[in-house]
Amino acid sequence: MITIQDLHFHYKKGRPLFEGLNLELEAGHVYGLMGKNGAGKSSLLKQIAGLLFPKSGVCTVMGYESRLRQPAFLSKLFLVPEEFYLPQVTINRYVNTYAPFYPNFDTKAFQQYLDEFQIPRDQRLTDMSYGQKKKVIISFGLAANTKCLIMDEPTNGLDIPSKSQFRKVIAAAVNEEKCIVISTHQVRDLDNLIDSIVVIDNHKIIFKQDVETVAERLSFRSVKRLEEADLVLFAESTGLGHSIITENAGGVPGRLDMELLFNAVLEPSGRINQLF
Amino acid sequence: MQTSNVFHAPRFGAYFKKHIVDNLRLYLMSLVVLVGVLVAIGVISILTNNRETVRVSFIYPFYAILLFGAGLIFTGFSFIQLGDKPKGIDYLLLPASHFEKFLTTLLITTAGFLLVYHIAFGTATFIGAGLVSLSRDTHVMDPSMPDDFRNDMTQLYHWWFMGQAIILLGSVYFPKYSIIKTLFAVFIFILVIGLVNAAFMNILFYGHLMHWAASAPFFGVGITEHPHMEEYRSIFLESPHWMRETLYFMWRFILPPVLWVLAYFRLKDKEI
Repeated sequence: MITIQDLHFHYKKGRPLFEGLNLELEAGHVYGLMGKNGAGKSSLLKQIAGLLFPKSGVCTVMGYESRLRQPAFLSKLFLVPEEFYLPQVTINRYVNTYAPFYPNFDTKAFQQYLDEFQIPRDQRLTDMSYGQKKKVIISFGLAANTKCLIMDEPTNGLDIPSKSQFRKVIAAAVNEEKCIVISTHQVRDLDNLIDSIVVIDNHKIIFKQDVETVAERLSFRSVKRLEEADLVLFAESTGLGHSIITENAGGVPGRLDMELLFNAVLEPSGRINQLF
Repeated sequence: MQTSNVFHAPRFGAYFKKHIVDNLRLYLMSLVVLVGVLVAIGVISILTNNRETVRVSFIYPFYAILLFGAGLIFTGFSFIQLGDKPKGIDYLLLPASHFEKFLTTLLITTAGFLLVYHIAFGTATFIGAGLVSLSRDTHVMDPSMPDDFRNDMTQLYHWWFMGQAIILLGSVYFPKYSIIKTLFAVFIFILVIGLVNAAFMNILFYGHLMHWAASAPFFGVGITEHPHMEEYRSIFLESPHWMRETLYFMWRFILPPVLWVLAYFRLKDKEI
């Protein structure tokens, strides 16, 4: 669905953001795009959406070259940006003016998402808080039923109950034809939501695996003393002991600690990456 | 059936409607302000001039100045959303083609503005003249037109479309403070043309120029004949008539569409 080949990009000459970046994302998955601040998560999403153009290389989505921003492509893709704009109108008027551009827009589903987020339909968008507006644009993006849905830091500005609601609506919206990409630096927000992990660092994709494979091969647990565990691949000290990653000898999928995995993947030794 | 990725009438209609809905409040407020300003200027100028009748030639300068002022300021805001990241993303990712988005802006800043401006000006003239007529208890408008009025109006519109096209192109390049930045860019452009022209003329007519800057780009050059004689005469060498006519034609009919096309391609290449 999304194919990025040999992508090179920079904002300023001599300071590359992407160097020969390659990435293939398929329909039917929810991808979590993770990376440190400034690693290029938002820029990569903008490349996919056609808001930024590669200096060299190609970015195609559903066969469309994204930089051309053709209407047929844009009607199949929806981006929920970190900083978004909503006009000064009611939700109804917003839907009436924006929905005609998305042929598969589902009005009934939109209402269901609003209900889930407890957003009154007759409220003006200008009278809403940032979090409420974010819920409206997320609901619209899901109801647009585009084959590709991209969300940049969607949980920013959402309170704790809303984050659970967010996970619930995303889970309900997933299907075999849809590719959802969620970028975040708050990796815990992606727990039980994504099925594939993509980590970007040092101008490239350094890790891409589905959650099931990771859980089958790695074991995440806490120990009081490091000596209690054998063959520790990665360890992080916590107040009560250590969080560790070891090889999953039994192969039975267990709990996956996204934050611990992320830190382990970014470790210079690259021991985790070598296992995949 | 596959719809065109360049122009599809229902999609264009939906985009045009969306644009109007998004900006309706701003447009209506601008219209009220425009009518108010026109009425105020009209009434004050008629009363302070103490004229018995108001001729078209008296109204014309107000009409022309406000046509340029309001029209070019309005055009300067055409792509202001591209200067704001969230609005720019919303604009660029809305599933309509660049051509449909550009055409909407072009129609609104040309045909739309001219239509609304004439309605506003007509309304303001009617209200203003009505108020003054009521206060003096006599009819004050003289509808007779000067002989060269039609030619003046044609010239005015050529200049207006040229200015509109320059500001529209500038607003794509400089979404923020577009008018100031565009005027500055135009000033620099004219300065460079003038300097390059002066340099060439100084090389071509070395020792014969009336003055180092005695030339007008594309039109001619002022030279002196027999500079060593006590009595010499200066003449202005004009460029050929056909060349001036061609340039004038291009200025009126070719350059504005060319600038629109440039603005369109610049919009296509816009990144956020």
